[in-house]
Amino acid sequence: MKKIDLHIHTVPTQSDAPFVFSLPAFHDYVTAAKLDAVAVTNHDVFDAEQFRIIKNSLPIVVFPGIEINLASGHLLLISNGLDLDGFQSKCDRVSAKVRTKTDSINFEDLEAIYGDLNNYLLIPHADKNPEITGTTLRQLQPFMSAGEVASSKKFIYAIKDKDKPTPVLFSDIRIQAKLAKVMGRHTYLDCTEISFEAIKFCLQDKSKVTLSAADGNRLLPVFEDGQMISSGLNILMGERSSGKTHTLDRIKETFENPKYIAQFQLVQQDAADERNFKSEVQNSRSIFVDAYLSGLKTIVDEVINVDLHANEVKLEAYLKSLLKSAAEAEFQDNYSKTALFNETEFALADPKALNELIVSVRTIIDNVEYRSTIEKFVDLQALQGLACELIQQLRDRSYEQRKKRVINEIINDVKVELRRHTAATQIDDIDLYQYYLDQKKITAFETVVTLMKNEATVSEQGIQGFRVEAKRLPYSGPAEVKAANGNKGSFSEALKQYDRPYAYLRELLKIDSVARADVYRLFVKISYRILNRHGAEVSGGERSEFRLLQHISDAQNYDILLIDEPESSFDNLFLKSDVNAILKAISESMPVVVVTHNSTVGASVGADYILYAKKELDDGVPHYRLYSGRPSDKTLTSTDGNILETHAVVMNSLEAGIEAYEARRKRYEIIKN
Amino acid sequence: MKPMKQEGNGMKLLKIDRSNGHFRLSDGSYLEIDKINKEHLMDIVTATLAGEVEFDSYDEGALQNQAHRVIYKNIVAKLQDLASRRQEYKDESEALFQKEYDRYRQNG
Repeated sequence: MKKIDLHIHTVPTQSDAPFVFSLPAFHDYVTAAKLDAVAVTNHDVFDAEQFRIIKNSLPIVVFPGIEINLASGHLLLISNGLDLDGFQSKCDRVSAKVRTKTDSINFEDLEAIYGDLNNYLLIPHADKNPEITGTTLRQLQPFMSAGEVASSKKFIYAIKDKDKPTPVLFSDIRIQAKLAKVMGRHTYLDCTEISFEAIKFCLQDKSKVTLSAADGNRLLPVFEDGQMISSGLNILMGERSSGKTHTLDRIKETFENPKYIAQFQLVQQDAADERNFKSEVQNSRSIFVDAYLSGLKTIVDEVINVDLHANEVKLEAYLKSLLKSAAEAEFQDNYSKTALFNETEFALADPKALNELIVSVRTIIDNVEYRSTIEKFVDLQALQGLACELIQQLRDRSYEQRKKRVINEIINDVKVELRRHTAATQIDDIDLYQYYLDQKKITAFETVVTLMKNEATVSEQGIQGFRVEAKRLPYSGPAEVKAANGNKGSFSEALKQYDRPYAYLRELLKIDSVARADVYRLFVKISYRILNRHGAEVSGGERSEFRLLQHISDAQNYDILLIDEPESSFDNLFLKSDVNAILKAISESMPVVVVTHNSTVGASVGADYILYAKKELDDGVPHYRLYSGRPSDKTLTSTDGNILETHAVVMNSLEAGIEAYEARRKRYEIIKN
Repeated sequence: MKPMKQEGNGMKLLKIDRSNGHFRLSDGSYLEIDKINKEHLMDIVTATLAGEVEFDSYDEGALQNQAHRVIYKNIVAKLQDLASRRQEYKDESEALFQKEYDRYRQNG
């Protein structure tokens, strides 16, 4: 087995945070990590002079390479190193094209610069940002040796997925005096000697590429001393103060994206905690509330600017002025007799519907995903013709509207000025169509709000045996409305009008702390209940269970799941029936480490690997040791060669020792009999 | 006082004649400005935006009728402004969905 790291930076570039290269640090790094080969791959630059110094100083094989901004991703290109000057001049051509972080070359440039790409190791970022995708990836495929991934979890995914290229996991480290921790971010190749050709050959075969030297991809290295964990389910046991939590923290540090569930994190402690829990559930579903209430929001937005009272006042003024003007007919003068004196303005219609229609047609024309289905029924050219005609109509209308606006300005200005010169009554302007429309809008709004106040279950979602039920119901008092308004404002006055939605809306708008955009939330309450499998509302303990299950399913988005003593929060039945099954399932796709004293977890979960932390005195000096092995192994070993019996360890950790276990077993038998 | 011409060779939309203001109807005849309503206004605004037009400038001395003064002054000011922004009005409407319009028209 040979251990390699072919992604290492030694020159700070526009794509790096500043750092100062240190040759001694490089030396220490390859020695500590026991590497057999490395490659120097700086961003869009190759420095032959520095490379020669590194190569002559390191005791292992060093390949020259470069990390290139290719299209929108990164590509490692590694040379066999036989013609350093030739490689230098090729890389200089890349440097000339990529001068800033956002510059890049394309595949054609790559071929033009490097010629036959088969002469190199080409390793694009595959499951790692910034990833090479699409056309560029397809062009690269015939020449690709492997795909670089970001974590051991992604490495194992890629090994199992036959459609993915051979994965490699590298450090991507900046070599400087204070080195980052990159344990485990290396790749092992099953070959006997290190050469450019041997590496290329091994990478063609997924079975020759692993994350650990001895156990293929079932074990991952975590610490510098060679300590491994399983890529599946690990149980970490040990007495009090033996360094379990410390070990868990160290594992956490070596992973880029860990999910850590601390001890007692899930336990409900008091009433405030219960409120937090409720708002947690509520917040995680606020998207649902928004979606559910979006229809109401549209209606509220429509009626929020309708002022029925003002409309009435206007109508009354119009009628008054009309009657008065009729009575004064005989006293008309030059001013009041002009046509514009009582002229009404042009009504301006909103071209919203036409606009939306154009956008819809455009959506159909531009859709790529369903193009073949669309073309089966509609002629795209005809649709484009339709779009053009609709756009033309919109333009004409907009042009008309602008003219009307100018004319309205004239009418308005002339009327105001004419009025100044005459005692005659001017007939007030009113848009009766708008008046009628406003009335109808309010009627529709009141009907909808009244209907929505009827209590109903609006959504039910099953989550691992629990059910989250969302109900809509009327607000029962000012405190509830206040809570829905972010705990601001006083609502007792407004609520007196709660049965008259429009009047209630006007009252709400008088309250300073009510944002107009959010006022739609204050008509009906959406309330959540978490129900257990029997349909009853959950208890405090069940709440913790719900939380744990949520956290565990969330873990899918991380690279490792670490849980410290889940038994501190739960009863055994729940641990056995639910937690164990989920932990086991999740460990199929990512490493899981569970710290436990509990036999229900420890002995029943079906762990792939046991870690045992022990504080030992070596010549009076305390020493924290970690023993490990498979559950089926007779013994567990530490990295410095100490051995413990697996059976004794399990008995001591989970059952308080063999004697206690035997005594318990006998007592259970007596109870049973 | 002799009324001033506003522009060159276009049709005359507003004129001052015999101490009264007049506007042009679509059939080419003229009506006194105190009879102008919003439909008439639409016609002369459309004509102003469509091409070369002219109108006599506002001249308080030339207009005897006070009501005519109020109306004439207002309209002529607006039309002058419109005439100078003719292209802008056109461009603004044509900017709507321009990218789509150009692309689809080519293909269609």
